Amino acid sequence: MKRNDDLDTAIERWGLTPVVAALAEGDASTPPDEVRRRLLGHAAAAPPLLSPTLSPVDLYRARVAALEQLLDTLADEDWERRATPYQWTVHGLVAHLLVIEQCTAAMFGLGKMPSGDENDHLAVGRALIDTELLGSPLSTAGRWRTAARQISDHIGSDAFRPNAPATLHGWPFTGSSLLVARAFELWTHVNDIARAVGRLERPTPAEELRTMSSFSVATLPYTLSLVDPLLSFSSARVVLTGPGGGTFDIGTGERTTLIVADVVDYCRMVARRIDPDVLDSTIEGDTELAGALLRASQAFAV
Amino acid sequence: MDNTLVRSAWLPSAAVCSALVSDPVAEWERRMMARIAVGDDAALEQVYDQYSALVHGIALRLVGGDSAADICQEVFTSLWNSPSRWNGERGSLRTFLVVIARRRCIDTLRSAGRRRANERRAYRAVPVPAPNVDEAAIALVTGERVRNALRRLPDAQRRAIELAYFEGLTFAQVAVRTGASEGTAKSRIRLGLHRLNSLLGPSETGGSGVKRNLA
Repeated sequence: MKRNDDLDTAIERWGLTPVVAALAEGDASTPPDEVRRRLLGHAAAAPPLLSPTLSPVDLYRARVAALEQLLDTLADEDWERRATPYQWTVHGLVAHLLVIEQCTAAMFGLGKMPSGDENDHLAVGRALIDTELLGSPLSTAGRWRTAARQISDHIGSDAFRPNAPATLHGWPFTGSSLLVARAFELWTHVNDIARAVGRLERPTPAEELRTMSSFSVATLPYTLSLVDPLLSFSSARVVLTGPGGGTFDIGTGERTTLIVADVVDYCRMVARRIDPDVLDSTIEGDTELAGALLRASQAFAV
Repeated sequence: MDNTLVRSAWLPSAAVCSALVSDPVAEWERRMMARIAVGDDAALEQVYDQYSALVHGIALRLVGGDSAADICQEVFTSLWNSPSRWNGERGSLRTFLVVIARRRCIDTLRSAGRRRANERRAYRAVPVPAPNVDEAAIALVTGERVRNALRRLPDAQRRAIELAYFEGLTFAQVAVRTGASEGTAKSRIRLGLHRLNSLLGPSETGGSGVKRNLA
């Protein structure tokens, strides 16, 4: 039988599918309860295939490559533009990244920690930043590239110990989690620089977003206990929509709150580029807990 | 931290906000499907609660009891397994589910060769109550409006639509049953549906039932 010989095919061509849907309204009839049980059983047993996560090593390398690509395209005047939300220019921001690569390298036993308060992300290495700003931006970019490549080489070698403690700015990271946190920072500053020089931000590959957002959500119970130690927390669901998103159940026990947000917006909020109060999100259940979780997600960012 | 620039860069424009507010059903469907796409079964549950009676009702009329339940489950399972098949720019989720449900019913009827038996059953099918008082009331009111609109069609158009829609017959089969040519049968159906579209207006064809439930 020809498939184009019936109403259901023709109505799309005629643009009349809503009429056919309206005709169905009068027949609405509750299905047996077992349909609902079978459906939800299937959903629990067969979650959708989502974007895979990257290894922390690959994520860090991908973010270094993204920043390298962007810096290679900057015009001379771009280096002097202000990179909000900081007081630094683009040149100063790259000098700051040079400092943080040196901090990271020091954690991996590859060199000395820059001078200054190493627990203060923005203050550490200030003398080095001031010195860099007296020179050429391209020289600063070259030194940042060298530092980042030194780390990339190390984390691909047998000497890298992914589970060894690697405390940075007082945060008790492991080697792997430090790389994810650093990748998150590089992602944030690539976007800062793109915005500063009037470029459209390039879409971030889904697997990179998923790796960063998974890390962030997984750390929420820990950061919540630091940010709001008196708040009772049992369980929450965080749904991050869009490519690279996912559904995350954190904690144990009865779920008391649901947070839904776009994965890119969520990552921007984690990086303090969107305030939790203006994040486009859906929150159900315990709104106080949800607000505390969103604030806690920003604990690593300054 | 200075958020001023960040806010102005990332908040939707006033026009977009206005569009979202003016069509809460479309926005609800978009948000639910975005959640389903990343594996949130709680969103699937909400969509099921909203539209399962509609889908099951279609299947009950076309294929009957046991198969209707199976088809209802298949429709929502396929939504879970392949959420990207729905494109919100091409139509509402409600309409999409109706179309998918009807296709599965027609396929079931044709593959099983049971059309004739079920045509008879279709006349006997008595819808059971919808899940709650609100939905039951909406179904009753909407169903009455649809029946009134159908009654206002010319007899030939109404009969052709009933055969094609409520019994799932092809245009050729409608032609045989009504003693008209296939082209005439098709034309009557199209004209009748256009007329229904005018009579029912946007409140029905745009999904009023959902709007009321979500208000």
